[in-house]
Amino acid sequence: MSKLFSQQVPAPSTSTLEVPSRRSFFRSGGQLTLSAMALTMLSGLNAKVATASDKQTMIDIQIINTAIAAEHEAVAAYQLGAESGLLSTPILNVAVQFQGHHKEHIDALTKAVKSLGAEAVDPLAKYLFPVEKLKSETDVLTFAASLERGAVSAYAGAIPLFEQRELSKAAASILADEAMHWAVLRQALGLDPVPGAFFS
Amino acid sequence: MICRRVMSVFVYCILSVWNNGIYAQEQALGLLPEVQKTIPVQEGKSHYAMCLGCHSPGYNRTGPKHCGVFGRLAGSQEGYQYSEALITSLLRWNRHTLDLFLEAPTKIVPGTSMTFAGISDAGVRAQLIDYLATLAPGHKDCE
Ligand code: HEC
Repeated sequence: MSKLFSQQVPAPSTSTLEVPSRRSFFRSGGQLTLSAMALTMLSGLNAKVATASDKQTMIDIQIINTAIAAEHEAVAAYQLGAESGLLSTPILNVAVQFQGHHKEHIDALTKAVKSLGAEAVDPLAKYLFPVEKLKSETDVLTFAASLERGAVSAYAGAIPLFEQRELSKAAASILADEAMHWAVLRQALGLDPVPGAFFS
Repeated sequence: MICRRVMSVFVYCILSVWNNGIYAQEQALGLLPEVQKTIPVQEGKSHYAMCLGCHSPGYNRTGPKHCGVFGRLAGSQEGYQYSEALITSLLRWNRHTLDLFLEAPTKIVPGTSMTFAGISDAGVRAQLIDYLATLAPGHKDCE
């Protein structure tokens, strides 16, 4: 565990989520439903693994592990943002909530990788972030938004590759979550939250 | 004035044709960093949003950094842990190999940890490659 992970900021109480503008949707228990759903999707994989060839299973393991690596980075990035002292309380609460989602993604993906008989990748000891460029709340939000935008593409690029469709389905539910993060961060930046009809 | 414009169109045409070829010779001539800066790369840079989940030009992340990728042997960026598959692919990155890789990374290099389906639109790939080609040390995105 790197030092970055040792100090976790306290979880927000839902009553303090007062980010300006239309934010009410992330007050709901949506993230709980999501992870529960993802886990349900990921359960019952063992039965199917038996039919998948080793090579195909290896590919699924590799896809999930690349996703876990990116999720670990997201957790570290939100930690950096949260500890930067640059975020106002409402934004900080959102950051911590989103970080929590990424941790839940890691849990679900780790279970999936284990069910395929492999181990999940560990977080890096150190992440290189462009800290010197993060000087304001806007900088931090812009940085987080670019990571979430990238994550949407990463999952969109992974979904067609899974051998097991259940994994594609679970990855799609994570993609949906990250797309919501991106939209909320854009909104907080004063940008059009949903700047198009299609994203790849 | 006119002369200069004609000249730049001429250079641009030459470059466009040139870009369709394989880049090893340019690399050998040491011309690459200079000529690449003259190609408009805004589109390529905006497509790069697709890569930002795993890559940044200037530092290693889930994927390796891209500064200096052009002309480099695949899997040779220091400080990044590549898959065996990419290292042993013995590919050298030029327009042609990048185009093949970005179209379907896992098909061209089975076993790569870049588990990304790829970009089917050849135009988008070409613009992305234009941008990647500018990422030489000294580029502001590499800082
Ligand atoms: C899901 C995460 C992910 C996404 C999204 C992604 N990559 Fe990668 N990329 C990787 C990983 C991981 C590697 C290392 C592959 C290996 O070692 O087999 C890599 C390697 C590469 C390499 C080889 C670099 C070298 O040093 O040899 C290139 C070029 C590349 N990616 C370009 C791109 C471009 C351009 C995009 C956007 C269209 C992109 N990648 C999107 C994860 C990703």
